[in-house]
Amino acid sequence: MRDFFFGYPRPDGQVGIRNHVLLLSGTLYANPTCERVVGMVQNTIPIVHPLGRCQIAPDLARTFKTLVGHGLNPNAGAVIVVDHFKEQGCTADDIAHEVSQSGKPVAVVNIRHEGGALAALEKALRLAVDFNRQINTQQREKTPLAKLIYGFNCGTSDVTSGLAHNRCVGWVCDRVIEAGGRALGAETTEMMGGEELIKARAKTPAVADKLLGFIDRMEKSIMACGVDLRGSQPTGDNIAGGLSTIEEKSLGAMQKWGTKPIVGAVEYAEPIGPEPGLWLMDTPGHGGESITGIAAAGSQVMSFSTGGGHTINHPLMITMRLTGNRESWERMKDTMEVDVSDMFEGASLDEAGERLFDEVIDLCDGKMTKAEALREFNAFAINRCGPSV
Amino acid sequence: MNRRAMIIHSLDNVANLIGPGARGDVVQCITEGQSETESIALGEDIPANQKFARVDIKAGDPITKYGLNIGRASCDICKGQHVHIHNIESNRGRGDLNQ
Repeated sequence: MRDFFFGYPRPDGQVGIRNHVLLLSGTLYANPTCERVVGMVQNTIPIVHPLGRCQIAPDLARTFKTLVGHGLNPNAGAVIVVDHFKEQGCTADDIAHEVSQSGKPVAVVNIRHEGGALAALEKALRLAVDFNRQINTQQREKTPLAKLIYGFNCGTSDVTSGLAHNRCVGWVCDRVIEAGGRALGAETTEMMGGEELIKARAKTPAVADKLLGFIDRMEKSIMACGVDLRGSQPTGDNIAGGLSTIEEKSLGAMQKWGTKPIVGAVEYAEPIGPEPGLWLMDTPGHGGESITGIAAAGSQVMSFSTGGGHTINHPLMITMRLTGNRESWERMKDTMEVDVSDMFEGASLDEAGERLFDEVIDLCDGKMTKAEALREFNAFAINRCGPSV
Repeated sequence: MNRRAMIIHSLDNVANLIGPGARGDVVQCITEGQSETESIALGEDIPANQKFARVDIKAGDPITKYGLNIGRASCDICKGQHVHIHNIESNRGRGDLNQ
């Protein structure tokens, strides 16, 4: 089995599996400029969102951290930050300053300072063309798997999830970790009911306590609403797929964790430490918000395992979709990459796991996902911890 | 029809069908890592891949899957009956019980 991939080394030591020019919007009012550039210049990727204005400080800090994390993600070879004026604590200059620590080319376009939408667009277009010409002579180099942060997540789960595709993700996590790499999962809601398993798997009691703290905080925030979580989790499609309770969904979701110790836990969108092994991030079950947190931590590639089928695709972190539900595969095969439904007809976990592993490595080497070929960008969503004010 | 099902952990009191099942089907249940199978007759039609009771379960009893607790029975469930939201409920995130 391969223990290397071909990637783009960055000056800060990270290694990308794509070499895109990132159009990073600082605020919702700069989104159209980013989107227009992406429509006109090849090899550009948009990061657009409805936030960046009138957020209370901790919530704005979370937006800032998430945007900076995307600028630092090694799949971006160069970054253009676009802003419309100035939001204290989350300006384009602040974001660009943080991203420039990586040593990659970074520039700022401020719509007001440039003289309005047309002048800002002209500047952003010229930067995108110039940055493309600056970075596109970079070559892929042979890179050990130790440089990989393998992201994983699941959605539209059903009863096949815990039996088939989630176990394949766990199998790949184990192989990445054995090669000295890191695997990064999330989804605190889907840890509820798995506390005993977490205590048994955490490398230290401190790691277990941190994760149990995440779960407690999440459950309290649900209880504070005075409602039964069952109206929201399991979701309607989970229930249609045969999952009855959040505990059942969680234990199925945790099959993605493989068998290695959990070496660390981080808050939303925070970078993980250098230690090889399984890492977990505090995110909600919401797929877009969860994988956006993982991308902000520097993950290059993501396996998204699904029972019912899913269109999810992060703009910058290469997102492949797999299922073990034969009917979902047949319905959604133009939207998904790997089918492991033969596990219900006798295919072993080793066999199906290796199929997923090979696809992940191919994607790292440059093979496109179906969503990438279609230029679908649907899953950038920043998690919030406060109201708009 | 001859049907198959998976018991994920030997402690589980529910099993997962592979494909759909009809009332009266006799299902061969395979437990991971064990060579012996057990036969259970389905008490009702069950949608593809869903759960059924491996033993008689009393109202309030814990439901066990993956060898761990996934909720409790909200009524008595007979061996071979469909197990889903109509007869089991979660113990977690129940803000409604505090009202």
